[in-house]
Amino acid sequence: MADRVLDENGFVREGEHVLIVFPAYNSVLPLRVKAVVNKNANWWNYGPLPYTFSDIGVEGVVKARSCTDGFRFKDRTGRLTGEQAGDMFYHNKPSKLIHAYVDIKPHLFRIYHEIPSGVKQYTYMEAVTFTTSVDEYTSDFGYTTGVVEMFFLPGFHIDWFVANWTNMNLRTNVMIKFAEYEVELPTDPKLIFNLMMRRVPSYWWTLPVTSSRVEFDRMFSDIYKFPAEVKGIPLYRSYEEEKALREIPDLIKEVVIA
Amino acid sequence: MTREVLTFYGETDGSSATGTFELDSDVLHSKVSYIRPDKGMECRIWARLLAGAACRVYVEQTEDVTESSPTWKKLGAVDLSSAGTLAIEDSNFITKLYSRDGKQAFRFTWEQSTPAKSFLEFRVEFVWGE
Repeated sequence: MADRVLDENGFVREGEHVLIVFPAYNSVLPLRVKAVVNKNANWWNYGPLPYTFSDIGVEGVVKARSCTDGFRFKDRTGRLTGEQAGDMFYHNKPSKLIHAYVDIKPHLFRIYHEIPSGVKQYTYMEAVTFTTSVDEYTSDFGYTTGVVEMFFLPGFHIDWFVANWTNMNLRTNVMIKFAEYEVELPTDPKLIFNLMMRRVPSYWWTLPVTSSRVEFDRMFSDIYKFPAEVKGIPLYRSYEEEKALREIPDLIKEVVIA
Repeated sequence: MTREVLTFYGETDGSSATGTFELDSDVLHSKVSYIRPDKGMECRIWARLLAGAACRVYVEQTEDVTESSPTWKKLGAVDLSSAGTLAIEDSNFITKLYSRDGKQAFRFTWEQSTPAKSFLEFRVEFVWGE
Protein backbone atom coordinates (compact mmCIF):
# COMPACT_ATOMS: atom_id res chain seq x y z
CA MET A 1 0.00 0.00 0.00
CA ALA A 2 2.83 2.37 0.81
CA ASP A 3 3.96 4.68 -1.97
CA ARG A 4 5.15 8.23 -2.32
CA VAL A 5 1.83 9.66 -1.11
CA LEU A 6 0.59 7.04 1.37
CA ASP A 7 2.52 5.53 4.23
CA GLU A 8 2.43 1.85 5.21
CA ASN A 9 -0.76 2.42 7.24
CA GLY A 10 -2.62 3.97 4.33
CA PHE A 11 -2.32 7.54 5.55
CA VAL A 12 -1.18 10.55 3.56
CA ARG A 13 2.41 11.42 4.28
CA GLU A 14 3.26 14.84 5.64
CA GLY A 15 3.86 17.27 2.80
CA GLU A 16 1.76 15.28 0.32
CA HIS A 17 -1.68 16.14 -1.03
CA VAL A 18 -5.11 14.64 -0.74
CA LEU A 19 -7.80 15.48 -3.26
CA ILE A 20 -11.35 15.12 -1.97
CA VAL A 21 -13.73 14.69 -4.90
CA PHE A 22 -17.39 15.74 -4.68
CA PRO A 23 -19.34 14.00 -7.46
CA ALA A 24 -22.48 15.95 -6.58
CA TYR A 25 -20.72 19.21 -7.44
CA ASN A 26 -18.18 17.96 -9.98
CA SER A 27 -15.59 19.66 -7.83
CA VAL A 28 -12.57 18.91 -5.71
CA LEU A 29 -10.96 20.12 -2.54
CA PRO A 30 -7.18 19.82 -2.78
CA LEU A 31 -5.44 19.80 0.57
CA ARG A 32 -1.82 19.58 1.58
CA VAL A 33 -1.10 17.62 4.74
CA LYS A 34 1.13 19.85 6.82
CA ALA A 35 1.31 17.55 9.81
CA VAL A 36 -0.11 14.34 11.20
CA VAL A 37 -0.94 15.20 14.78
CA ASN A 38 -1.13 11.63 16.06
CA LYS A 39 1.80 10.31 14.09
CA ASN A 40 2.77 6.72 15.04
CA ALA A 41 -0.17 6.47 17.44
CA ASN A 42 -3.08 5.85 15.18
CA TRP A 43 -4.61 2.63 16.50
CA TRP A 44 -7.66 2.88 18.67
CA ASN A 45 -9.66 0.04 20.14
CA TYR A 46 -13.05 1.68 20.30
CA GLY A 47 -14.83 -1.25 21.96
CA PRO A 48 -18.26 -2.63 21.07
CA LEU A 49 -20.34 -1.05 18.36
CA PRO A 50 -22.12 1.93 19.96
CA TYR A 51 -25.63 0.61 19.40
CA THR A 52 -28.02 -1.43 21.54
CA PHE A 53 -31.00 -3.38 20.27
CA SER A 54 -33.72 -2.85 22.84
CA ASP A 55 -34.80 -6.50 22.90
CA ILE A 56 -31.23 -7.70 23.45
CA GLY A 57 -30.14 -4.97 25.82
CA VAL A 58 -26.40 -5.45 25.38
CA GLU A 59 -24.40 -2.73 23.68
CA GLY A 60 -22.58 -3.92 20.59
CA VAL A 61 -24.62 -7.05 19.90
CA VAL A 62 -26.02 -6.90 16.40
CA LYS A 63 -29.20 -8.88 16.29
CA ALA A 64 -29.63 -11.69 13.77
CA ARG A 65 -31.49 -10.80 10.56
CA SER A 66 -31.61 -7.13 11.57
CA CYS A 67 -30.12 -3.77 10.84
CA THR A 68 -29.27 -1.07 13.33
CA ASP A 69 -30.77 2.37 13.09
CA GLY A 70 -28.30 5.09 12.18
CA PHE A 71 -25.65 5.54 14.85
CA ARG A 72 -22.50 7.57 15.39
CA PHE A 73 -19.28 6.83 17.18
CA LYS A 74 -19.98 8.52 20.49
CA ASP A 75 -17.16 9.72 22.72
CA ARG A 76 -16.21 7.11 25.29
CA THR A 77 -13.59 9.25 27.05
CA GLY A 78 -16.05 11.73 28.53
CA ARG A 79 -13.73 14.54 27.55
CA LEU A 80 -15.46 15.73 24.42
CA THR A 81 -18.37 18.11 24.65
CA GLY A 82 -21.13 19.46 22.45
CA GLU A 83 -21.71 17.68 19.18
CA GLN A 84 -18.50 15.70 19.60
CA ALA A 85 -19.89 13.94 22.66
CA GLY A 86 -22.27 12.03 20.43
CA ASP A 87 -19.99 11.85 17.40
CA MET A 88 -16.26 11.74 18.02
CA PHE A 89 -15.51 12.35 14.36
CA TYR A 90 -17.54 15.53 14.14
CA HIS A 91 -15.58 18.79 13.97
CA ASN A 92 -15.89 22.20 12.39
CA LYS A 93 -12.30 23.20 11.94
CA PRO A 94 -11.31 23.99 8.36
CA SER A 95 -7.66 23.17 9.03
CA LYS A 96 -8.48 19.66 10.32
CA LEU A 97 -9.14 16.54 8.34
CA ILE A 98 -9.62 13.12 9.89
CA HIS A 99 -8.77 10.08 7.80
CA ALA A 100 -9.96 6.83 9.32
CA TYR A 101 -10.15 3.11 8.65
CA VAL A 102 -13.01 1.63 10.66
CA ASP A 103 -12.87 -2.10 11.23
CA ILE A 104 -16.11 -3.56 12.63
CA LYS A 105 -15.48 -7.17 13.69
CA PRO A 106 -16.51 -9.84 12.95
CA HIS A 107 -16.48 -9.19 9.22
CA LEU A 108 -19.95 -10.59 8.65
CA PHE A 109 -21.85 -7.33 8.31
CA ARG A 110 -23.16 -5.12 5.58
CA ILE A 111 -22.21 -1.55 6.40
CA TYR A 112 -24.13 1.44 5.08
CA HIS A 113 -23.80 5.21 5.53
CA GLU A 114 -25.92 8.29 5.43
CA ILE A 115 -23.74 11.18 4.26
CA PRO A 116 -24.69 13.60 5.66
CA SER A 117 -26.86 12.21 8.44
CA GLY A 118 -30.39 11.52 7.24
CA VAL A 119 -29.50 11.33 3.55
CA LYS A 120 -29.37 8.03 1.74
CA GLN A 121 -27.28 8.77 -1.29
CA TYR A 122 -28.01 7.07 -4.58
CA THR A 123 -26.12 3.85 -4.91
CA TYR A 124 -27.16 2.85 -8.40
CA MET A 125 -28.08 4.91 -11.45
CA GLU A 126 -29.70 7.77 -9.54
CA ALA A 127 -32.63 5.52 -8.71
CA VAL A 128 -31.62 3.13 -5.96
CA THR A 129 -30.70 4.06 -2.42
CA PHE A 130 -29.80 1.62 0.27
CA THR A 131 -32.51 0.03 2.35
CA THR A 132 -32.23 -1.64 5.71
CA SER A 133 -35.14 -4.00 5.19
CA VAL A 134 -34.44 -7.65 5.93
CA ASP A 135 -34.37 -8.75 2.34
CA GLU A 136 -31.31 -10.01 0.53
CA TYR A 137 -32.25 -8.39 -2.75
CA THR A 138 -33.60 -4.94 -1.94
CA SER A 139 -30.71 -4.34 0.44
CA ASP A 140 -28.05 -5.31 -2.08
CA PHE A 141 -26.90 -1.84 -3.08
CA GLY A 142 -24.71 0.62 -1.26
CA TYR A 143 -23.05 -1.55 1.34
CA THR A 144 -19.45 -2.29 2.09
CA THR A 145 -17.91 -5.10 4.07
CA GLY A 146 -14.79 -5.30 6.16
CA VAL A 147 -12.66 -2.24 6.83
CA VAL A 148 -14.30 1.03 5.81
CA GLU A 149 -12.18 4.01 4.83
CA MET A 150 -13.69 7.40 5.59
CA PHE A 151 -12.63 11.04 5.60
CA PHE A 152 -14.37 13.26 8.12
CA LEU A 153 -14.81 16.75 6.77
CA PRO A 154 -16.00 19.63 8.93
CA GLY A 155 -19.55 20.60 9.66
CA PHE A 156 -21.69 17.50 9.16
CA HIS A 157 -22.39 14.14 10.73
CA ILE A 158 -22.20 10.75 9.09
CA ASP A 159 -24.60 8.06 10.26
CA TRP A 160 -23.57 4.43 10.21
CA PHE A 161 -25.83 1.40 9.77
CA VAL A 162 -24.75 -2.19 10.34
CA ALA A 163 -26.83 -5.04 8.98
CA ASN A 164 -26.49 -8.64 10.07
CA TRP A 165 -28.24 -10.96 7.62
CA THR A 166 -26.90 -14.10 9.30
CA ASN A 167 -28.99 -15.96 11.88
CA MET A 168 -26.50 -15.26 14.68
CA ASN A 169 -26.72 -12.52 17.32
CA LEU A 170 -23.16 -11.27 17.01
CA ARG A 171 -20.98 -9.47 19.53
CA THR A 172 -18.83 -6.78 17.95
CA ASN A 173 -15.59 -4.99 18.47
CA VAL A 174 -14.53 -1.89 16.58
CA MET A 175 -10.90 -1.14 15.81
CA ILE A 176 -10.17 2.23 14.28
CA LYS A 177 -6.95 3.54 12.90
CA PHE A 178 -7.00 7.18 12.08
CA ALA A 179 -4.84 10.13 11.22
CA GLU A 180 -5.62 13.63 12.34
CA TYR A 181 -4.24 15.87 9.63
CA GLU A 182 -3.39 19.55 9.84
CA VAL A 183 -4.14 20.69 6.31
CA GLU A 184 -3.84 23.75 4.11
CA LEU A 185 -5.21 24.65 0.73
CA PRO A 186 -2.49 25.07 -1.90
CA THR A 187 -2.64 28.57 -3.31
CA ASP A 188 -0.72 28.02 -6.53
CA PRO A 189 -3.34 27.55 -9.29
CA LYS A 190 -0.84 25.73 -11.46
CA LEU A 191 -0.24 23.19 -8.68
CA ILE A 192 -3.99 22.76 -8.15
CA PHE A 193 -4.54 22.16 -11.86
CA ASN A 194 -1.63 19.70 -11.98
CA LEU A 195 -3.09 17.83 -9.01
CA MET A 196 -6.37 17.52 -10.93
CA MET A 197 -4.55 16.29 -14.00
CA ARG A 198 -2.59 13.80 -11.89
CA ARG A 199 0.65 15.39 -13.03
CA VAL A 200 1.46 15.82 -9.35
CA PRO A 201 0.85 12.73 -7.21
CA SER A 202 -1.90 12.95 -4.64
CA TYR A 203 -4.36 10.69 -2.89
CA TRP A 204 -7.73 10.89 -4.60
CA TRP A 205 -10.71 10.08 -2.46
CA THR A 206 -14.28 10.43 -3.62
CA LEU A 207 -16.85 11.33 -1.03
CA PRO A 208 -19.72 9.00 -1.95
CA VAL A 209 -22.33 11.71 -2.39
CA THR A 210 -24.36 12.08 -5.53
CA SER A 211 -26.81 14.78 -4.51
CA SER A 212 -26.07 18.29 -3.34
CA ARG A 213 -27.06 19.05 0.22
CA VAL A 214 -27.32 22.16 2.33
CA GLU A 215 -24.78 20.66 4.77
CA PHE A 216 -22.13 20.62 2.05
CA ASP A 217 -23.14 24.09 0.89
CA ARG A 218 -22.61 25.33 4.44
CA MET A 219 -19.27 23.55 4.69
CA PHE A 220 -17.98 25.30 1.58
CA SER A 221 -19.35 28.75 2.37
CA ASP A 222 -19.41 29.00 6.18
CA ILE A 223 -16.43 26.85 7.17
CA TYR A 224 -14.05 26.98 4.23
CA LYS A 225 -15.23 30.47 3.16
CA PHE A 226 -15.58 29.81 -0.53
CA PRO A 227 -17.59 32.56 -2.26
CA ALA A 228 -21.34 32.02 -2.29
CA GLU A 229 -22.41 29.55 -4.96
CA VAL A 230 -18.89 28.12 -5.22
CA LYS A 231 -18.79 24.52 -4.05
CA GLY A 232 -15.15 23.61 -4.18
CA ILE A 233 -12.86 23.95 -7.15
CA PRO A 234 -14.39 22.76 -10.42
CA LEU A 235 -12.87 19.59 -11.80
CA TYR A 236 -11.46 21.24 -14.92
CA ARG A 237 -10.91 19.30 -18.09
CA SER A 238 -7.43 18.78 -19.43
CA TYR A 239 -7.87 21.44 -22.14
CA GLU A 240 -9.10 24.05 -19.66
CA GLU A 241 -5.75 24.92 -18.14
CA GLU A 242 -5.89 28.57 -19.15
CA LYS A 243 -9.39 28.92 -17.77
CA ALA A 244 -8.37 27.16 -14.54
CA LEU A 245 -5.34 29.36 -13.99
CA ARG A 246 -7.52 32.42 -14.54
CA GLU A 247 -10.42 31.35 -12.31
CA ILE A 248 -8.81 29.52 -9.39
CA PRO A 249 -7.21 32.58 -7.72
CA ASP A 250 -10.64 34.22 -7.47
CA LEU A 251 -12.28 31.07 -6.20
CA ILE A 252 -9.83 30.58 -3.35
CA LYS A 253 -8.92 34.12 -2.37
CA GLU A 254 -11.20 34.13 0.67
CA VAL A 255 -10.75 30.49 1.59
CA VAL A 256 -9.52 29.82 5.09
CA ILE A 257 -7.69 26.50 5.24
CA ALA A 258 -4.29 27.05 6.75
CA MET B 1 -12.47 -9.50 -0.50
CA THR B 2 -13.40 -9.74 3.16
CA ARG B 3 -12.77 -12.73 5.37
CA GLU B 4 -13.59 -13.78 8.89
CA VAL B 5 -12.66 -16.94 10.75
CA LEU B 6 -14.83 -18.05 13.68
CA THR B 7 -14.51 -21.09 15.89
CA PHE B 8 -17.70 -22.80 17.01
CA TYR B 9 -18.24 -25.25 19.84
CA GLY B 10 -21.00 -27.73 20.57
CA GLU B 11 -21.69 -30.74 22.75
CA THR B 12 -24.05 -33.67 22.77
CA ASP B 13 -26.64 -33.67 25.53
CA GLY B 14 -25.37 -36.94 26.99
CA SER B 15 -28.76 -38.62 26.92
CA SER B 16 -29.97 -38.69 23.30
CA ALA B 17 -28.73 -41.07 20.64
CA THR B 18 -29.25 -38.44 17.96
CA GLY B 19 -29.51 -34.69 17.99
CA THR B 20 -28.45 -31.37 16.57
CA PHE B 21 -25.55 -29.47 18.10
CA GLU B 22 -26.34 -26.13 19.70
CA LEU B 23 -23.40 -24.02 18.58
CA ASP B 24 -21.59 -21.41 20.60
CA SER B 25 -18.68 -19.09 19.89
CA ASP B 26 -16.90 -16.16 21.53
CA VAL B 27 -18.75 -13.75 19.23
CA LEU B 28 -22.19 -15.28 19.70
CA HIS B 29 -24.56 -13.65 22.16
CA SER B 30 -26.83 -16.70 22.06
CA LYS B 31 -26.44 -20.21 20.73
CA VAL B 32 -27.68 -21.30 17.32
CA SER B 33 -28.62 -24.70 15.98
CA TYR B 34 -27.54 -23.90 12.43
CA ILE B 35 -25.53 -21.27 10.57
CA ARG B 36 -27.16 -19.21 7.88
CA PRO B 37 -24.62 -16.99 6.12
CA ASP B 38 -25.45 -13.83 4.20
CA LYS B 39 -26.12 -14.07 0.50
CA GLY B 40 -22.88 -14.27 -1.42
CA MET B 41 -20.86 -15.61 1.46
CA GLU B 42 -18.85 -18.75 1.14
CA CYS B 43 -18.26 -20.83 4.26
CA ARG B 44 -15.19 -23.00 4.45
CA ILE B 45 -14.87 -25.45 7.28
CA TRP B 46 -11.17 -25.74 7.97
CA ALA B 47 -10.78 -28.03 10.95
CA ARG B 48 -12.77 -30.24 13.23
CA LEU B 49 -12.08 -31.58 16.67
CA LEU B 50 -14.15 -34.27 18.32
CA ALA B 51 -13.55 -35.29 21.90
CA GLY B 52 -15.26 -37.40 24.55
CA ALA B 53 -17.42 -40.46 23.96
CA ALA B 54 -17.66 -42.29 20.66
CA CYS B 55 -19.76 -40.27 18.27
CA ARG B 56 -20.53 -39.81 14.59
CA VAL B 57 -20.98 -36.21 13.49
CA TYR B 58 -22.71 -35.24 10.24
CA VAL B 59 -22.47 -31.98 8.34
CA GLU B 60 -25.89 -31.19 6.90
CA GLN B 61 -26.99 -28.51 4.53
CA THR B 62 -30.34 -27.15 3.47
CA GLU B 63 -31.23 -25.17 0.39
CA ASP B 64 -33.96 -23.22 2.13
CA VAL B 65 -33.91 -22.74 5.86
CA THR B 66 -36.94 -20.44 5.70
CA GLU B 67 -39.27 -23.37 4.95
CA SER B 68 -41.36 -24.52 7.87
CA SER B 69 -39.67 -27.95 7.71
CA PRO B 70 -36.36 -27.54 5.90
CA THR B 71 -34.91 -30.53 4.13
CA TRP B 72 -31.44 -31.27 5.48
CA LYS B 73 -29.01 -33.13 3.29
CA LYS B 74 -26.04 -34.97 4.77
CA LEU B 75 -22.80 -33.79 3.17
CA GLY B 76 -20.27 -35.72 5.17
CA ALA B 77 -19.48 -37.39 8.44
CA VAL B 78 -16.69 -37.71 10.95
CA ASP B 79 -16.38 -40.67 13.31
CA LEU B 80 -14.86 -40.75 16.74
CA SER B 81 -14.91 -44.55 16.92
CA SER B 82 -13.98 -44.83 20.59
CA ALA B 83 -13.66 -42.48 23.52
CA GLY B 84 -10.81 -40.04 23.03
CA THR B 85 -9.94 -37.17 20.72
CA LEU B 86 -10.04 -36.88 16.96
CA ALA B 87 -8.47 -33.84 15.33
CA ILE B 88 -8.84 -33.22 11.63
CA GLU B 89 -6.83 -30.42 10.20
CA ASP B 90 -5.78 -30.05 6.63
CA SER B 91 -3.97 -27.56 4.48
CA ASN B 92 -7.16 -27.37 2.47
CA PHE B 93 -10.65 -26.80 3.77
CA ILE B 94 -12.79 -29.82 4.51
CA THR B 95 -16.21 -28.62 3.39
CA LYS B 96 -17.32 -25.60 1.39
CA LEU B 97 -20.80 -24.12 1.33
CA TYR B 98 -21.97 -21.18 -0.73
CA SER B 99 -24.99 -19.04 -0.02
CA ARG B 100 -26.59 -18.38 -3.38
CA ASP B 101 -29.71 -16.53 -2.27
CA GLY B 102 -29.31 -16.16 1.48
CA LYS B 103 -31.52 -19.14 2.32
CA GLN B 104 -28.85 -21.83 2.51
CA ALA B 105 -27.73 -23.00 5.95
CA PHE B 106 -25.70 -25.77 7.52
CA ARG B 107 -25.67 -27.56 10.83
CA PHE B 108 -24.01 -30.42 12.66
CA THR B 109 -25.87 -33.43 14.00
CA TRP B 110 -24.74 -36.41 16.04
CA GLU B 111 -25.39 -40.11 16.25
CA GLN B 112 -24.28 -42.25 19.20
CA SER B 113 -24.92 -45.93 19.92
CA THR B 114 -24.48 -45.21 23.64
CA PRO B 115 -25.48 -41.66 24.51
CA ALA B 116 -22.74 -39.84 26.40
CA LYS B 117 -21.02 -36.48 26.34
CA SER B 118 -19.03 -35.62 23.23
CA PHE B 119 -17.63 -32.27 22.28
CA LEU B 120 -17.32 -30.72 18.83
CA GLU B 121 -15.15 -27.83 17.76
CA PHE B 122 -14.81 -26.54 14.23
CA ARG B 123 -13.44 -23.51 12.46
CA VAL B 124 -15.32 -21.70 9.71
CA GLU B 125 -13.91 -19.15 7.35
CA PHE B 126 -16.56 -16.79 6.00
CA VAL B 127 -15.52 -15.26 2.70
CA TRP B 128 -17.26 -12.45 0.88
CA GLY B 129 -16.96 -12.00 -2.84
CA GLU B 130 -14.62 -14.68 -4.04
